[in-house]
Amino acid sequence: MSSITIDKENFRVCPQTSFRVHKPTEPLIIINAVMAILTLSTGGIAALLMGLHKSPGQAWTLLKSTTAYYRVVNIHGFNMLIFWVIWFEVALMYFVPTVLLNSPLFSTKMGWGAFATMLIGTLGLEYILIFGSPKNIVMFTAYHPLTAEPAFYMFYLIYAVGVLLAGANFFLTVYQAKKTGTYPHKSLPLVVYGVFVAVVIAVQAILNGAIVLSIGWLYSLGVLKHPVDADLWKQVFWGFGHSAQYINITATAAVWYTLIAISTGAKPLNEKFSRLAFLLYLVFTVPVATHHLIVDPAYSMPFKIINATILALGLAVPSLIHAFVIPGALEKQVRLQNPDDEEVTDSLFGWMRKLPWNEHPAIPAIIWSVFLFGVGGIIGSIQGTYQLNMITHNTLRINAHFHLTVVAGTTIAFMAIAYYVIELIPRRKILFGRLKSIQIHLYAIGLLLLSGGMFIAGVQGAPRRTATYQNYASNGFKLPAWNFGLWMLSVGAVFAVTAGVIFVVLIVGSLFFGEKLPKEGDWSSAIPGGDPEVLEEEHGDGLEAPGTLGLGVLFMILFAVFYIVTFLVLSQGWDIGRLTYP
Amino acid sequence: MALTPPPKNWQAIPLGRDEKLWSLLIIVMITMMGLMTVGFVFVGNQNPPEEYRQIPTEDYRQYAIDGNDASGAVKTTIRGENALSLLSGVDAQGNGGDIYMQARQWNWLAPMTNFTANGIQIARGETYRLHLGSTDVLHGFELIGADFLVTIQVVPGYDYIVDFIPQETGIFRIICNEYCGAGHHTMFSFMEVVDV
Repeated sequence: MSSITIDKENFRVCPQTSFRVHKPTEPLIIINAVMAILTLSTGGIAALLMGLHKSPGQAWTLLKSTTAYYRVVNIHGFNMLIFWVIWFEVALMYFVPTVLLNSPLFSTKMGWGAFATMLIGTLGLEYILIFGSPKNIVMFTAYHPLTAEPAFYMFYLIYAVGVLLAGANFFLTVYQAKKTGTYPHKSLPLVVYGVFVAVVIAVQAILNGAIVLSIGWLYSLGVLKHPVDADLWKQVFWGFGHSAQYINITATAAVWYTLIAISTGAKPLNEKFSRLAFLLYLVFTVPVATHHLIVDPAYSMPFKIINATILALGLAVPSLIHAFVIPGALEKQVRLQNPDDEEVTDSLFGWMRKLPWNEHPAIPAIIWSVFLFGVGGIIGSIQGTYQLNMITHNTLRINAHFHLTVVAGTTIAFMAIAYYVIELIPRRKILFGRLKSIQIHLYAIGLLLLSGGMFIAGVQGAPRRTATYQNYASNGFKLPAWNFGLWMLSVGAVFAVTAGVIFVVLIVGSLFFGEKLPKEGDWSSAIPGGDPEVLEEEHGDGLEAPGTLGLGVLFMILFAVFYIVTFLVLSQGWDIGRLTYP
Repeated sequence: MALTPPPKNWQAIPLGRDEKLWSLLIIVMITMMGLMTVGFVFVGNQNPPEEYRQIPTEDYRQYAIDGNDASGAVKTTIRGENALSLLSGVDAQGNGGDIYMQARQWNWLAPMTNFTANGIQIARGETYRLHLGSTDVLHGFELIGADFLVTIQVVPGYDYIVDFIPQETGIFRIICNEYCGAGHHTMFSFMEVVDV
């Protein structure tokens, strides 16, 4: 076993976790997380304005024009899907390998370089989105040949270069930790492995993005005289746009494993199972993008079926694995810790009551995040199905799907880990004790209402990204009964944004005014570099997580029923598609 | 713990009973979904349209005019708006029944040489070939108000041919459901389905 050189100058031992923390990396983690919170706040203000504007007849709107609405949609999309998640993921890319591999960051200079590049990209793009010409309102999708001003593409690309730099720093840090022996073991910890997969997905996503953005840029500049094939552009765009969501999902799963470990000490049920799941994300994410083009003219039926539906079903597998393992691991841990408590041993769900709901925001966060992510996954699998896409594409139902996955799934998990990062890195105690757990509940309930409303209106055909529906009701036409869903959406948005404000106040307030926790732990308590244990097989006759399995069966039944019912609804429709003529 | 090195023999530790059962459930579910969607292509009556032609964006309007002229459509007026009426669908030889719609910022049009319609009138139970194309950016065709909700992407450079049989009489809204610029919400048309 290689020995670890102890660099007491640049490291401290965390008194709470006994992990070694590389001091020069700490400000980088904090500044990237702060950028994440700032952009989340910007996106959140836009979310409130959109949510109120979506109320039936724009009853609650604060916006003066339809263009103002499209502008806030644009601001919301970029801040939430690009800035908030990626800034936070970069913070994780520095936090995870340095702390868990006992390693310094490969290069803090490169880290600051990446920060400066991403900052220029963010500020430039934010300026264009908020104050720029309405020509730049092209939405997150920015489908060619709808074209923004050249600066839009330029700042977007600058931001992407910064992210690539941060990604390179992550890979080099992992490589360095292995090479220099600060991490002397063969296999990476599961969480590092998960983040590793996320960064690989990020690199391929950004390369796809660079292609389509460069084309957009050249066309906008007039260098490219004619638009390229719009569907080919769209296909490559989703190689970026959809993969980018799988960076989020993979990072979310890694965060889930972190949260169960720090809140209860729970281990994954089986390392191999969880690692396989992470690997499957990589295998299936790269080729899958066509489910955005199911009702597009280009591409043949077999290509669409294989890429959009069969491979996309494969992509559901890793999420189903993680979503089972996470609650299952919590259940197993509670059962191991309470072998004599009848409330736990004699009931399927008694373990849930024993979880530290109030002490650890991780618990409500995991339960809500996994549950809502699962529901969002069901909706997503349905609308990604070849035929079912025809009754869901571009309706608010799509928004219901990704608000449940990316917002409820990823953002709730990220919010919870942010509370721990503040206590572990700047070492400030989060203010107001239990409020952080209440915040998670409030946010989740808001999202449930928001997404539920989107789903209900979307099932009846309410289109997304549309400033007003009133025009359709002209000349004696009546609108379908969208109002109930739209009210629900607006109320949900108010709840969620309120909880978002509490989150930002807690994080920023604690960063400045939280009780200072001791920074320097005892070096003798530092986690040694010794060999990991050899685990004996310890499966008994019974199940380790019967409650979770029961819930899983229920989930699958709901999934199947929902899937079949949607097909039944479709089959009541007009004949369309493969018709034989009379 | 997921934060520390895994057990040294992690690759050799077999899956527990819980994980095996869950994997089985996943496989059953995925297989069922895969079979349903592939099977529905062959037995279902509602599948995404498969036929398309590549037409240069700048040529689509003339292509649509020629197509509507050739299909024998006539002008009519519905609720004070111009409409293109074609009450006979595809015949036994597989000819006719073609209606060409042009999407542009921010209208749906059914153009002919002598006039341009805002909406279309068709007959219930007939088979139609609806051609959808755009002369600028991406748009989305969505029918609302009928019992059948359908949404189809309209892409510049393509003529997307949607074979369908209207099965419900009434007058329905065609809207645009792909963001296409500042006037996106003002882009709508109508489809009247009548019995003949």
